Amino acid sequence: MRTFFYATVGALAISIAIGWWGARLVMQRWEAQQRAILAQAAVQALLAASPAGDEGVAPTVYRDRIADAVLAYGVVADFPDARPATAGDEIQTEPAASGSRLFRLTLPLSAPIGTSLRLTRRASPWEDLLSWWLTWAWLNAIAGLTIALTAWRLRRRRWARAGALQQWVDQLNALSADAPPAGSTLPPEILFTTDPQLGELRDVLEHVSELLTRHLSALLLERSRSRLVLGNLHEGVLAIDGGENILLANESAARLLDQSVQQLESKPLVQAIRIPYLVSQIQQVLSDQQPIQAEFQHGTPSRKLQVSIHPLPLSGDRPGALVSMRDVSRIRHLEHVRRDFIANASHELKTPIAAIRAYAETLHMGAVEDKEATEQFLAHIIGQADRLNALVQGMLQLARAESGRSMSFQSIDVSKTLAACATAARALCESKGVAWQDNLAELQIQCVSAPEALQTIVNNLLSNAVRYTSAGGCVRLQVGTENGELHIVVADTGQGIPAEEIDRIFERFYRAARDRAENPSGTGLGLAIVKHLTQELGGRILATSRVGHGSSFTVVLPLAPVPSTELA
Amino acid sequence: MSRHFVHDLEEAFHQLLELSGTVEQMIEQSIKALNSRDSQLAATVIASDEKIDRTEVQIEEECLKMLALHQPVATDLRRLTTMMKVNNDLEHIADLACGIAERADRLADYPAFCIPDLIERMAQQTVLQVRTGLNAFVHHDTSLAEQVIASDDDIDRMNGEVIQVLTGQMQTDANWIPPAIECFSAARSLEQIADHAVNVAEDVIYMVEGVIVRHRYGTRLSGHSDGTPPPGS
Repeated sequence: MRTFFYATVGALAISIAIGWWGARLVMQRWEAQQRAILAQAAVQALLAASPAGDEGVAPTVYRDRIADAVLAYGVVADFPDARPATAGDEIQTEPAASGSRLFRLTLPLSAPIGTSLRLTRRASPWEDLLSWWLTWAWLNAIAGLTIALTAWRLRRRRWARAGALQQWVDQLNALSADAPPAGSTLPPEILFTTDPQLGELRDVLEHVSELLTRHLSALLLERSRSRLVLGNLHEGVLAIDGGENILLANESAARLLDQSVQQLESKPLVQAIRIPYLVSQIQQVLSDQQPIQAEFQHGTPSRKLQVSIHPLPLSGDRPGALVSMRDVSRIRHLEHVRRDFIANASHELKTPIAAIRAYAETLHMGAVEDKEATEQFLAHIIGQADRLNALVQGMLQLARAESGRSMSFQSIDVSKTLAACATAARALCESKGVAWQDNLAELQIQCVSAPEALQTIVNNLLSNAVRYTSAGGCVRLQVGTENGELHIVVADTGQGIPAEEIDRIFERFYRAARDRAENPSGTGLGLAIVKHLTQELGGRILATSRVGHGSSFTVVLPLAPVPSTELA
Repeated sequence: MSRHFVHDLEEAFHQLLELSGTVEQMIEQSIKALNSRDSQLAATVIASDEKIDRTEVQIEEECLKMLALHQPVATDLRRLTTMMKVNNDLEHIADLACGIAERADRLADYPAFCIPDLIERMAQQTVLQVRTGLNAFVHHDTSLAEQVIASDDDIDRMNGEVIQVLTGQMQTDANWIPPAIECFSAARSLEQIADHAVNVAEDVIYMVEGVIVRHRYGTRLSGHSDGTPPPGS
C-alpha cells in the first residue's frame, strides 16, 4: 500500500512540475507578445505625432526613437537604420489587480511636441494559460497515467512475490500427516530473491520446514511401527475413552468382532460393537475403574472369546478402558477333550473292576460251593481281567505311540507284513458271515517303515471294520501306491459314522453314542492309536463315512520315511 | 432442531443399537442350538424374546413421542421413521430366531438325523447379512446396504438347495420326515431373516438418500453408472 501511495504522490509532483514549467513558458511568450503590441502602439503613436511637414530635424529624432523601439521589441523592420535601445527605454511591468498585468513604456522625446511619450497597457495571461493547458492537458494525463501504471506494475511484482510466498506457505500447511513432504518446494521467486528481507524469511522458513519434515517423518515412522506391532498382535486390542468412543482398534480385534478396523476406530462404542454383554462389561469398567475378566460366545460358527478389560488412565479428566481379547475356542475344546479323557478312562477302568469285584464277592459269600457257578464266575472274572488288560495295553500302546520312541524303521515287503493281519481278519469275517476282499496277493511293494506299527494300524482298522459290519456285509483291504505314497484302504459296508461325529472318532475313548450301547467290548482307543502311529510314520489318515452305507479309512504313508527330526 | 430432540433421538438410537445387538446374539444362539441340538440354549433364546418385545414397544413409543412433540422434518424425519422401521424389522427377526430355537428344541429328539451342512453355511451368510445391514444403518453407509441387497439372491439360492437336500432325505427314509420338516422350517426362517436384513438395507438407503428403493432395486442397480458390479455376483 505504501508503494502505491509513493507512486501517486510522485505522479502528482511530476504532473505539477510539468504544469509549472508549461505555465512559465506560456507566461514568457505572452509577455513578449504584450511588449510587441506595446511597441507597435508606440511606433504608431510616434508616427502620428510627428509633424507632417517638418522633415528637418524632428523626423530624424523620431525616426531614431522609433527605430530603437522597433529594434528592441522586434517590430517589422520598416526602419533599417535603427539603433539598439538604450537604458531607460525598458518596458516596465508590474502586477495589477485581478490577475492582470500592467505594461508601461516611457520614451523620452526631444521634440517640440513634448518631453516624453508614455504608453500603458493592461492585459491578463489567463486565457493563454487556459488555452495552453487545454492543448497540452492530455500529455499531462498520459504522463500521470504512465507513472501510475508503472507504480502498479511494480506493486504487482511485489504482489506476485507475496503470492509465491503464500503458495509455499499453503504447501507447508497442506503437509498431511500421512505423506511426508518431498524436500524443499520453494518457488523460484523466493529461492533466487535478491530482497534481503525476503531472503531472511526464506532461510527461516526453510529451516522450519526442514525441522518439521524431520520430526514428522520420525513421528510417522514411530506410528507405522506401533501400528505394525499392534496390527500383528494375536490378541485383539481396543482402547476406549471416557466418553465411550473407541480410540484405537487393531486388526485382530476387528477380526474377532466380525467388523473392520474402519468400522471400529473413532466410533461410539455402542454403535461399533453391538454385543450387549461386552458393551455392558466395558461400561462397568468405565464406571467402576475395576478390571474385569470375562468370557463370552460370539459369531457363527460360535467362538469363545476371553476378554480382559482394564481401566486406562488417559490424559483427560475421565479415564478410559483397555480391552484385550483372544479366541479361546481351541483351548476350551482341548480342555473339554482332556476332561472327557479322564472321565472316560476312569469309567472304562472302573467297569471291569466293578464286575470282577462283584463276581469275587459272590464267590466269597459262598457261591464257591456251587461248582458250576464258580466255573462261570471265574470265566467272567478272567474275561473282565482280559478286558482290563486290553485297556491298559491299549493305553500303554497309545502312550508309546505318542512318545514316538521304539520305532525301528526297516525295509519291508508290504504284502508279507500285512498277510498276518489279513489272515486274522479273514478268520473273524468268516465266523461272523461277512465277505472278505483283499489285493495282497498281487502286490509287489517295498517300503521303509516300522512293520509292527503298520501291523497295529491295519489290525485296529480291520477289527473295527469287522466289528461294525453285520452278517452279509463286506470288509475290504486294498493296498496300492499313488503319487509315491503308500495307500492302505480299509472299507466296510457297516453302519457308518454320523457326520458330526467323524471329527471326534480319533479322540481317545471317544465312542459314538450308538456304538457305546451296541458294542460294549470296544475300548475306544483303537483309532486314537491308529492316528498317532500313522503320524509317527510320517503319514496321515482320512476317514469318510455315510450312515447306513459304511465307512472307509485310508492310511497314506510315505514309501521312504522322512527323518523324524523334520517331523517335529 | 432443539437440543432436546437431538438428545432424545440419540437416546432412542442407542436403545435400538442395544436391541440390535441382542437380536444378533439371538440369531447366533438359535443357530448354535440348532446345530448342537441344545434344548437349554434354545430355551434361553425363546426366553429373551419377551425382553425384545418390551424394548421394541418402548422404542416405538419414544419415536412416536418425538414425532408428536418435535415434528421433525427432512433428515431428522427420515432418520426417525427409519429407526421405527428398523425397530420393527428387528422384532420380526427376533421372532424368527425364536422360531429357529423352537425347531432346535424339537430336533433334539432326533439325534441321529443329519442336519444338512448347507444350513450352517446359510446361517453364517444370514448372520453376515444382518450384521452388514445393521452396520450400514449405524454408519449411514449406502454401499454396505447395496451389498446386502445384492447378496440376498445367494441366500434364496441356498434355501432352494437346502430344500432339495431335505426332500432327498425324506424320500430315502420316511422316518426322517418330521425332523426334515423342522429343518425346512428353520431354513425358511433364516431366509426370512435375510429378507428383513434387506428391508433394513433399503431403509438405510431411504434414510441417507431419501429415495425409496423398495420393490425396484433391480432397476436401481442396472441404472447405476459407476459400473461396479454388485458384490456377491
